[in-house]
Amino acid sequence: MAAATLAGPGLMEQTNASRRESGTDAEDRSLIGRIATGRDAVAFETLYERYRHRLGPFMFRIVRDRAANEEAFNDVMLTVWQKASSYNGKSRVSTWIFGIAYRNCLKTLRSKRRDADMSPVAEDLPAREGNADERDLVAHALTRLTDEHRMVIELSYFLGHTYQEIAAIADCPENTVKTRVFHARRRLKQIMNDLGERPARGTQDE
Amino acid sequence: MNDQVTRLHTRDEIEDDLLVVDYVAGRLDDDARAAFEARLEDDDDLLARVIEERGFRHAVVDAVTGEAPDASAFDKLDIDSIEEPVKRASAWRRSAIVASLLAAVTVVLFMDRPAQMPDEEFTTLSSEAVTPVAESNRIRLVFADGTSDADRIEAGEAFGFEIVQGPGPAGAYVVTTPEALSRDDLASWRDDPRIDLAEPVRYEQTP
Repeated sequence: MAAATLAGPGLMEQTNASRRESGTDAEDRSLIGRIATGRDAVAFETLYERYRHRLGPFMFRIVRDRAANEEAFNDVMLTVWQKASSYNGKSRVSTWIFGIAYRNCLKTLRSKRRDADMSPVAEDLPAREGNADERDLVAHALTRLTDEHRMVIELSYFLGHTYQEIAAIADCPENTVKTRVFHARRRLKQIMNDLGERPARGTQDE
Repeated sequence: MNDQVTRLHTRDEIEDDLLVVDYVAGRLDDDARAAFEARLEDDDDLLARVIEERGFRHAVVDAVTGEAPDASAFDKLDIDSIEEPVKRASAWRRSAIVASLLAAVTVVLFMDRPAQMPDEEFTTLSSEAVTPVAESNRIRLVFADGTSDADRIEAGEAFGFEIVQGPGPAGAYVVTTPEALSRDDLASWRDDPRIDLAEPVRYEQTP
């Protein structure tokens, strides 16, 4: 098998993505500037709509509940509205907003667990059926990771952020992010393996 | 408890593993990519890891459908009723505030110190105070010098922890346990000759 076919997106795709990202960031900066200086509601609505599609799906993967996700996403965007003037321009706007979302998601997960007095295992995903496919298995396994491990997996795999970007979002050293990704992958594989070997709920003899 | 155990890994091992992740994700630059593909030519084990990572990536990304909130969610935001955006204080004003706070804290520390000393219980690196941090299930851990990998793995199996960070520059790990450690649990960790330091870490704290 040719090695080149094993890699993900090619260099050209990455370059284009990078150009798109920098163009997007310039537009984001302009919107944030208008919100910070002029309390521009139109600019806010435009930013909201952009991030509804960029950030919303990421948050849904963490929160996994439509109503809770809508509330959590609106909380993030309200923070953006209120604190636009504290954006210092040193990072991309998306990194700043994802940082707010990261902290919000961690808070949501912890409060959800505290309220329901449940461990990370017991999230509100549907119970596995006897013929549950791999997608259900992986979805279940993801809920069994610690919050930090789950967040780095989502940021790295689902959103494709680099370790440097994740470090900026999570406000921690890049090596910490690498270590978390490394251990999170191992743990996730181990859980997937364990779940795969264990008879699904409802099929075990009583 | 055994399924919580994670073997300890070196930084090189971590970097090498993530190289495979980055290659499959298309995040390597030209030179790194060429070097990696040269390795792939002769290394069947590496090739197997790349193929496995492709499958793993697809499985993780496809596991949950990411849904955007409904467009009508915006209507639930009443930004007009929200207070003015927080204005950043100017640099001189921030400096003045910080200087005032520092002065106030210094005065309070000097004034209160003698009165507090007799019965104040401090949480320090050597304190075994149960509250508030000792209830954490996150522990900063340093192994004793000369502890072999086998001994570390054995200690991990005995105490049932999962590494979430580390090793840091000083060789410290942050590990989590399924349940918060009690004072007795913590004491048994500290009594273990393989462990030099075991300190609870606040959940929100980033070491």
